[in-house]
Amino acid sequence: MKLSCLKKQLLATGFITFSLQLFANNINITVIDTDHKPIENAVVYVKESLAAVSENVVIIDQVDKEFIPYVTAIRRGSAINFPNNDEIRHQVYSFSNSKQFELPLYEGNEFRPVIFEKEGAVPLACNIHDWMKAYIYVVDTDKFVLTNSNGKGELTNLKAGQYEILVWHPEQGVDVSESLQSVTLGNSPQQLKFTLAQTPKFKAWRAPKGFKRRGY
Amino acid sequence: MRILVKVLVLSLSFLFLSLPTKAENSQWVEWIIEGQAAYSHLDNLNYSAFSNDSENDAKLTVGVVLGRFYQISGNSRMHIAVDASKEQYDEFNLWDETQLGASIGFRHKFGLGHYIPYLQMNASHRHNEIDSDRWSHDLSNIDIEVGKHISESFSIATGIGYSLMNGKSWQVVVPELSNEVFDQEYWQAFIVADYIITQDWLLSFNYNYRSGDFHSACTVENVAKVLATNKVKAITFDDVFGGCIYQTDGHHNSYSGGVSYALTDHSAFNFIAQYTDGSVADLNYHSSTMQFNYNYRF
Repeated sequence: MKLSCLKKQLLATGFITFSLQLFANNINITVIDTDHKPIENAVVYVKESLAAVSENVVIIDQVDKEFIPYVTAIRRGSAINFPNNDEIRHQVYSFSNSKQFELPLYEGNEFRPVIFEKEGAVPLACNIHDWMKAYIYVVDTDKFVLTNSNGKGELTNLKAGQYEILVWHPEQGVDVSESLQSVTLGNSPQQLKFTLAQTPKFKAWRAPKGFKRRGY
Repeated sequence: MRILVKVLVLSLSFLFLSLPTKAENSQWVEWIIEGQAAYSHLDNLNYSAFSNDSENDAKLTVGVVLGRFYQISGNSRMHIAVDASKEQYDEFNLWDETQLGASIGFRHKFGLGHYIPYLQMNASHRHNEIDSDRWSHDLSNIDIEVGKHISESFSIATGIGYSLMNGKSWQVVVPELSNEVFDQEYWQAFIVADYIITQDWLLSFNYNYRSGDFHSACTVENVAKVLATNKVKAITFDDVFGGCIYQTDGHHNSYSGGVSYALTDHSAFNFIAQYTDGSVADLNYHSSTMQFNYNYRF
């Protein structure tokens, strides 16, 4: 009896998975710069506005006086916790329009999440270590992906239909709306390529300089 | 002024020693561990005013710095450090030098943000032990600096410094003049600019204006010309370049340009070119240095 129930459950699960695969498809993304080099850490996302917000908690770590990862994409309403795995204190802040906050000098992994309720880019910095820099990009969709070192990403499990896709990157030279591309998704995967003009952004210099230092 | 320097150094030291190990908003934070190896070529290293006795040489330098920061608040921190270095000349071995020093500093950032300016004060004391003992001296320095990031790639700092040098008495050459060539006092003003070309390459520029005592060495045949300026304050015999070392005072401009290539976040290769010129009465002084160094910071 128990075995029979288990079989039914497995069959049902398999059917649902099969159905999702039948009616869902992927968009394979490539993001390159104007020199045809792949762009890593581009946030590719579907343009939409979801009524519900996320309750996810995401981690941005601090190790060896750097934020890890450099770019984090989150859904609106998500919280980010900023553990400090250095044995010194950091002071994390952002002055962005999407979220202004400051975590005064702290150390350790105490849970102190910051909730991001507004779409857009949130540059992060540390007031003690000028070179520490990272970006959060808040989107209002659950369909988003970060490109890998080959500039590749995949938006998965999308139903057939028309989509507007946007790309954001910290060094993007133009407004995010100018990246918009429309795509109609049918029963087969789609390929989408974005070419972004980039404006270099620099972290403050961290490596030792050659001149004899007067102080620190 | 000498008393002021001592009071400032003692005050900073006392303040540092009285800091708690860990308080509500302050604590000892990261260590300063640095190492440097450098190769330098120096034109007119004796800083002679006469082309017929200026000397050139090359030197190898290795140095280390050990210290620690104390974070006072989100905007302020102090540091204390000791340093040691060894310089070995290719030709003028009597000029080989060992340096031992200590420094203390306070840095305050006027708020929260990347573009907020900072103020930094430093005090240091260094003993320079030179194989030719008459050149050995102690050097105390205080300076104050303000700086800020102008953009993501460009930053600038400027400041002033005061230095006191204390050397040894050596043979008297001219009875009316002091033989303590390395008892000197001088001021400096400086501007430093850094420009990040890419995340791996940095350009640096440094202008330094120095006013006050300085020393120069010349051969015996030029000593009379030096003394004729009536600006010589002290003079003694020199065993390194084979003539006299004298002290005078004047103004100098020093221009430096550097390129750094970051191998990692903690290490870099650097190339520096420096040109210095100065004058006293009718005498003009020029020197230049080119240095290639490797720096590691923990």
